Amino acid sequence: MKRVIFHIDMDSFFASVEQQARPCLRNRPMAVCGKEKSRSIVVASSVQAKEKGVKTGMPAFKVIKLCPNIEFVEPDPVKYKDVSQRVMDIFSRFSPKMEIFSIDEVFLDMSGLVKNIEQIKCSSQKIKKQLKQEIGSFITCSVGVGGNKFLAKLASDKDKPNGLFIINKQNMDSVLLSSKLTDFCGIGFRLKKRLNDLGVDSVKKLRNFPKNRLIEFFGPDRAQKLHNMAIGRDFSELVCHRSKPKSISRAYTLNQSTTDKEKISLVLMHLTEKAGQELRKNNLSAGKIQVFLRYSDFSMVSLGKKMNGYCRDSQKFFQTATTILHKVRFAKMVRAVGIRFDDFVPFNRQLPLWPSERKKLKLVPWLDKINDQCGELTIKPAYLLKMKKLKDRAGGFCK
Amino acid sequence: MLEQVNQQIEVLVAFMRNKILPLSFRWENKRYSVKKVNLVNSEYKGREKIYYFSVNSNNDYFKLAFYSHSQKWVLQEAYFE
Repeated sequence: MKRVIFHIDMDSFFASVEQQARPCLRNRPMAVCGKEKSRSIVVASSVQAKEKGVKTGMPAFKVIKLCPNIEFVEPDPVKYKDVSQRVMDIFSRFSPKMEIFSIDEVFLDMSGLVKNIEQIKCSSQKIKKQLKQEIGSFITCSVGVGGNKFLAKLASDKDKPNGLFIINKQNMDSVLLSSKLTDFCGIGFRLKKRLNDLGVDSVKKLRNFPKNRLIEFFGPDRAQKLHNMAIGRDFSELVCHRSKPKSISRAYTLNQSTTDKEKISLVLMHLTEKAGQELRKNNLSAGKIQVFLRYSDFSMVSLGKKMNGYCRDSQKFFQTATTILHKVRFAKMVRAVGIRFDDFVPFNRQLPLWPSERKKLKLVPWLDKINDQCGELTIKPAYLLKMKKLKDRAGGFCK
Repeated sequence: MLEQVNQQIEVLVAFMRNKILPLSFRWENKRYSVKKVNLVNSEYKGREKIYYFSVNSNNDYFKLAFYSHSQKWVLQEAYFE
């Protein structure tokens, strides 16, 4: 095996962190979710809850029907972020080449550092031991090992929780052919449906499907990717550096569905403030803003607008967002509101022509500094005094 | 039963190898000795760095917060069996 890639996936990460912190939650069904009677969905659940059919993304009322004795714990994103950073610190000791794939997943390039299966097992045990010693006995991970990122990711799902699974030349075919299409990272529900429509419902059929027909349906890049998946090939390298974001978005599910534009614009202002601060932290300016609304029947509408030049001032974003919002005629009650900035360029320090604009440009970094030092939204637009601070949401998973 | 407390308390601590270890604390005229520290995490709120200690005292669970800038301890949560 030339390349040796480890994919480490924390087991039920948010739920494990809560169980580590509160022993009373251990060995029982529990879910990280908002309040029991709210419209929240499950962010993570314990192994015992999963055994009863509780899944990530399931609404709270469904969870109660499935598992009436389940314990709900409100998410604590700050805690998960902090524990995740400490976990990543531990992983980084094992290889200089590390790609953080999500808050609880990481790829390590162990090529040259482990030479045989015994050494792979030894490294995996060391990782697990250090997690136990430094974070806690309830924080476990599953390790998948393969010759590339795709196989390593597939392997880590094969022996959960707290397992180690190695895909090598001997077992690669049997593992691939016994996997479901959706087990592959990159094939989700929609792509699976499109493949099924073509008569492809297994890995074997995908492997034997004519490549030219795949290209016809999915385009050359995706077709090649799908074909490579079916034969376990992946040439992608680990992305060790954190690239600048391509878009920044913030969304919020309202406590009650509404058609009240003032309520919605209040949330929108809060979101633009938050996203604007993130934009400035990354030293970027955005050329486009998008407002998206989710209706009570879960249908979505999104409207975008080009900014008048590149901008980084939350107030300007809010003004544009409001003009977008006033154009929308609500077909149904609005359940969730979101905002997205994209079309980024690095922040240009050239001063604007108008003195009032210049003043604003100078003021914004100071406001950010005060908010950094004294807490988020210490200084905020007076309009926001009308509402309570929106709760932070726990980050989602990436697959 | 989980109770949100948020009361300032007195805590006896040990400093060991760059780590703070709460040993015992007083709350409502009762002394609780810390049997196990389950999890330590931290966050910044403005310039204040807050360390959270999820601890067990016998079968009871507590969440203590140490505000490093203002040097105070707060009992945030208590859970009694």
